[in-house]
Amino acid sequence: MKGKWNLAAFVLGVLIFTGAAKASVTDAESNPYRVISQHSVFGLVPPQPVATTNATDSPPDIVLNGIMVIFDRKYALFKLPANKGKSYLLGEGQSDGEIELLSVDDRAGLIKINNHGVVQTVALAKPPAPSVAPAAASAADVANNPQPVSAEGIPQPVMENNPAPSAAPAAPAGYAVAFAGGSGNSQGSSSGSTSSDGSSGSQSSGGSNSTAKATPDPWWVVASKNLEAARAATAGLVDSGQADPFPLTPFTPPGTPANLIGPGQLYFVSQAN
Amino acid sequence: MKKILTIAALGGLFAASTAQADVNIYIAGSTAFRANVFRAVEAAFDGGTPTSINPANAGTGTGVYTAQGTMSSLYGAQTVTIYASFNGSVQGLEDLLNNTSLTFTNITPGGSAVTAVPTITFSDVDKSSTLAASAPVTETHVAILPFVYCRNPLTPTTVTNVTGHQLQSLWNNGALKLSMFTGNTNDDSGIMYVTGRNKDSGTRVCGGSDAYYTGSPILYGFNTTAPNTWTIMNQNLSGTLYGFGYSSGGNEAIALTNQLASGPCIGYEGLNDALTVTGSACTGAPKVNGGGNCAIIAYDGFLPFNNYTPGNSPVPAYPDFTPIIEGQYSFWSYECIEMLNTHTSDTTYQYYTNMVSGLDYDLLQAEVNGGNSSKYGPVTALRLSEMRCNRSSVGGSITPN
Repeated sequence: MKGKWNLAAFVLGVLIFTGAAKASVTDAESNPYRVISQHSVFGLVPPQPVATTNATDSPPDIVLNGIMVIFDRKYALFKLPANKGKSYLLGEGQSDGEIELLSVDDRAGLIKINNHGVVQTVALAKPPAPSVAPAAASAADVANNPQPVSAEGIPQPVMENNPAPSAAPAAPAGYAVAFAGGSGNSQGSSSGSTSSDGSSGSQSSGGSNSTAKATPDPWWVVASKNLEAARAATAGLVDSGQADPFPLTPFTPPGTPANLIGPGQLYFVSQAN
Repeated sequence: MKKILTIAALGGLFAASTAQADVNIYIAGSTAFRANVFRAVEAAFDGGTPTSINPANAGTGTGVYTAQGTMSSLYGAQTVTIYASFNGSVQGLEDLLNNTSLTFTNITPGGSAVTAVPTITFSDVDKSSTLAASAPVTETHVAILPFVYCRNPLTPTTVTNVTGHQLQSLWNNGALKLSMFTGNTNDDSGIMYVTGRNKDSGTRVCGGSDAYYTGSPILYGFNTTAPNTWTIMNQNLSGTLYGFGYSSGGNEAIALTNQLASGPCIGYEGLNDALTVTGSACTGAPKVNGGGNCAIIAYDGFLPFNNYTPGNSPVPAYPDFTPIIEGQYSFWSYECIEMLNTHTSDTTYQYYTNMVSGLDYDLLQAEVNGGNSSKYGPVTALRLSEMRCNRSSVGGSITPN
């Protein structure tokens, strides 16, 4: 008896649900509440179809300068040379105008980005390859002196200003910064224009996603990147009290631990200019 | 009777060992003054030269060496061994203060390293200006040590001067817009980097004090992974107390002469190391110009010597130091010799006092030879007696004598 009632209830439920669904379709055009969603008081917009790669108008080139991972949140630092070299610092899922950072692969040094409606994968710009290998100490030097020595015989650490990675304390968990071109985005005098003495100076720019010449970063951008790279490299030393933290720059990633930020601010005035 | 003989024999052995006791002197400290010290060390031995030295090719630029011989006037027939390991002015004072052992080279090539606390150190600056101000030492001025700012090969020739106020900002930032130093708006997008020494350095102490700088400088340099790209120095050097920066003026000079450097840079140097950057007219021991636009530049509007145009000529072998002597050029300090003040009449004290006069003799010989002696080299420091002004502290006011 009880089983019959259950079966009846189930059939009734199916009928009601099916009918409602049909009603929602058939009554859609005459729905009196439809005007509410049409008003879109929250400014919602319907999802736009995203083109993949074969757009006829190619979007502006992007130069990926850095990837940061801060407490599991991934950020990318990039610029659009065509847009007066405007720099962007976006987290995953964040957008600025027609640019949206879709995802960051910090291990591979890649980002996926929606660039003016075109989804692109952009790799970190590569630093210029060093052209001269460092001189190695002779066997005689090593034999006669327990400590390595410099060219003039001054006792040296294992590596002048660049000890083995294991020598430095580890950075705090969750803080890492990676910039293209190492920490020293090389930039010579006058950046292609005529220097005050007519010399050209040396200049190299990090390449990026298959585009031609990239506009050199302004001096304060180069200096900021260098400093952020140094901040990351010294995080362990600062944490252990063996070094002072570097000052804040316009490129200091959000969420950088407070103890890694020293007094003073650098380059913000230059940024405003 | 047997007991008496035994005692007598022991006494004889003691006397013999006393008579044959060696004198060991351990020298550390300033790298900037090491050329003068090397010559004075050699000159103190009988005949003006040690009987052996390791390495055999040690010279005025060598930072670690050991010399052995006799000094009859000081120690009779005793064997005297001078161990030298220059590790920076401030570090040397710290070693004296903290009784820190250093590693020296064995007089025998290939022999075991010798570990000892230094007995005598040299400092480019008075101890009162350093972190080792409380070091219980006897301190004696032995010379005037000029420092200079050098530009690297990539720096435009229009950079002929740097001011203390520019340096304050440059050290605070590590890099600044190049046009600030050239005065040319075409250089707006260029960058001027600054390099320098670690906290062990008296040159750094003097440079900062003279420019009234009290911050923590950001210094650029090269590392082995990017040997041509200016990079913020970011590692403490093992074995030293502190600081990001080059551990010797010689290493900084190598950085400042890097022809493949990624841009313009300036840095301070003691004059002896600066000559390897800018070249010297000394015919006895010529020092080749680092090339490109390498040169000494003026500081606060003055060069340390006359008859020199940055980039146009090598530094004179015996420069006319009038701007220093008369008080116009301020980037200089008193070179000091230091020893623990517990030494008042022992062998260390004897060597200390002898070294004071020996260094003045060395400076005199360099001048007598016009800076063109292959032995005494170019003149890179001044005798105290030449000065017509003085200063009471490092970077302090300068007053006429």
